[in-house]
Amino acid sequence: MTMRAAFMTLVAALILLPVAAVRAQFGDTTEVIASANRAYASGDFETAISLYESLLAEGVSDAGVYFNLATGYQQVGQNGLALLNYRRAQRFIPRDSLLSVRVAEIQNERQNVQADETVIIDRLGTIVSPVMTTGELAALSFTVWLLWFGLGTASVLMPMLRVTLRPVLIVAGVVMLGLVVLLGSRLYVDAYRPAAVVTVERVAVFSGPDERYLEMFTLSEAAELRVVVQEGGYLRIVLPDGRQGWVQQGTITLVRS
Amino acid sequence: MRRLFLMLCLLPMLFLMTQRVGAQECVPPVDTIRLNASVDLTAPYVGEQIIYTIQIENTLENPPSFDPPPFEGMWRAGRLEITTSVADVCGVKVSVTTSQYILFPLRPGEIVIPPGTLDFSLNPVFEARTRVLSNEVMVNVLPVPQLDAPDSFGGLVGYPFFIDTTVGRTSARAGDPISLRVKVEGSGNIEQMPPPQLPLPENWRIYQQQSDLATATEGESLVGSKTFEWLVVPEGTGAVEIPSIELSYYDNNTGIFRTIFSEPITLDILPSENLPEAEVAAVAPEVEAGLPALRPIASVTGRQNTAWLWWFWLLPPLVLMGSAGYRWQTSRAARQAVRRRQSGALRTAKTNLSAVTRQRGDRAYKDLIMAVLTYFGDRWNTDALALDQNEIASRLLDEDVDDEIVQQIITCMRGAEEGRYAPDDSSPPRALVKQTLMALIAVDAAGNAR
Repeated sequence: MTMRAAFMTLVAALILLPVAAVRAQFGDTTEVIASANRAYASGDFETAISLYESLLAEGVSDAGVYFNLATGYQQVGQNGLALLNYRRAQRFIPRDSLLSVRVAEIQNERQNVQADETVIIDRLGTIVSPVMTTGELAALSFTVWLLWFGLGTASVLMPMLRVTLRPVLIVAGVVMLGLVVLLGSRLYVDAYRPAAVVTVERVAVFSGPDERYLEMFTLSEAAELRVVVQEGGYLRIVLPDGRQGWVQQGTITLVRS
Repeated sequence: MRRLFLMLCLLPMLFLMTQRVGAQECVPPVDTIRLNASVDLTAPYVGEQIIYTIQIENTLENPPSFDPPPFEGMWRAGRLEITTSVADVCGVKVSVTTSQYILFPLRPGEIVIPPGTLDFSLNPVFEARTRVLSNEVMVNVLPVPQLDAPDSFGGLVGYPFFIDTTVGRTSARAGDPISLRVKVEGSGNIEQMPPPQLPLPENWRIYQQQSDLATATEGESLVGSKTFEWLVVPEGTGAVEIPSIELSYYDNNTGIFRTIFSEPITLDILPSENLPEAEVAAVAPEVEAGLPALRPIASVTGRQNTAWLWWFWLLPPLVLMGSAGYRWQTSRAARQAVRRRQSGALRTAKTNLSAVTRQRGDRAYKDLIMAVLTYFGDRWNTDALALDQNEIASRLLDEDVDDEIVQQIITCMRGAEEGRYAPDDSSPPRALVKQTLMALIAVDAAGNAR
């Protein structure tokens, strides 16, 4: 074998090996998806749930998996976990009408009646959530960002265009500022005030991070809240109406997976 | 009468004696806080429940919280209800709080539970906190007798326990997984219980799933249930059986091993449909009437880390800053060149006029005019050839240069113009050059003074 042939063989192997690995993984995953769908269709929701969960554990990240998993949980009456996974699916497909209907179904069934967010930062962070994913908002903001800085660069390099560009720069600047504030607040809320769902039947909310503190009120399954602080085994939570308290870790689950 | 006298004498003595006896019995509490730790069982088996009790006697209005010891070598499963009682000792209210922790020893041998701590301060603003320690507690943990232990014993200690097996569905197609759940419930160390052994055929595929635990306290005992879950893929078709599952535990009350069994389950496995898996996965599956619809799972790729994309946000501001920097640099260089030209205007004029003194005739006058124009061109950073006498005079007057100096410049320029039309070739126009130079020096001085 000549040197050239050996080199070509090595290059081909380097290209084909990862492809083969991906194909093998695809095959396994597809089999699990098919089995899960069949289990659901035949009414074996527990098996379907286990299989969808195993897909997520393998790193499969798709709105369909979260949606189907949520549907399974809804069928077995675990509305907390169902809402949690519908919310996770909404992070991928926020404009999906069927998804909105399912979320509304659970919100209607849950015991805690919850209004929209009242805390300003939470409102800002979620104001475009029903229509735009974080990626889409980031892409739009970046486009306007790019446009504004491009025009700014043009006006710096070509002073004769400054007068013409000034109104465009002002309008684009206002739009850019608005989008950046929306994106920034959304990223902040996601990171420091993440949304969570009560996934147990009932959870007591205390005035401090221990069960010896005063029990202020209780939340039922599928109630939605935000986590602001973690201390020991307790989480400080804030409800959409602004009420705060401490709950035991493990009673709620973050939507951010 | 004598009796009455004796009684009258004895009564005060009796009163005094009663008072002294009462004073001896009433001892007011000395310590503000006193801790006492104990266990209900000092020689338990590994995995047997013991209760660690801490009694806090204190005279504070708001007793501080107790920090339990780390319980190394023990599994802390929970705590019982805290009880508080108040007693009056010599007019001082003493509160007795009892906290109880449920523990399970994890290894045989002597285990020393170190003291628990309690920090308090009578006046949190002005006084440092004082730490009070409880006593140590020693526990001699015995090993569970291994000689008679059945194979299905996995360390479960307590009494009683129950086992139950369920499946997600009893009928499935070959190759389809079925969820199998084994639920063990009872009173004991159920939290540390390992999964029971599954007596399934070797050719069945088994995937362990998560386990689910629920515990609660009932009286002074920890009770609960642990559910283990598997996905099993049976081999073969027709009626196949999930055999009875066996589990043994050590009954610490009677000191014997007990074994419990689950009911066997029969499955009906149908032949496979042999549909291509990719086809089934890629489309939204059809479901039975009445069931909510599912979504197709379009993407089966793993998550991609796109955090690095955020770095692109820096690019436009950097380009703008680079452009502004470039613009500032070029305009600064241009300003410096203008300043150099303006500051060197008189020097250049002197050099040019000096050269004129070596010329004769028309050339000399032409160069003289050019030297003057060049001076003003440099001074005002403009094209020298675009200037004329009127423009120069007008600009100088605008700069508030003395009228007389302006007239001198104009006179010199006119002299040079006239010289061009009637040139004297015999000698260079030294006088005119000198006059022009003096006028330019005066203009320059006027400009600098301004």
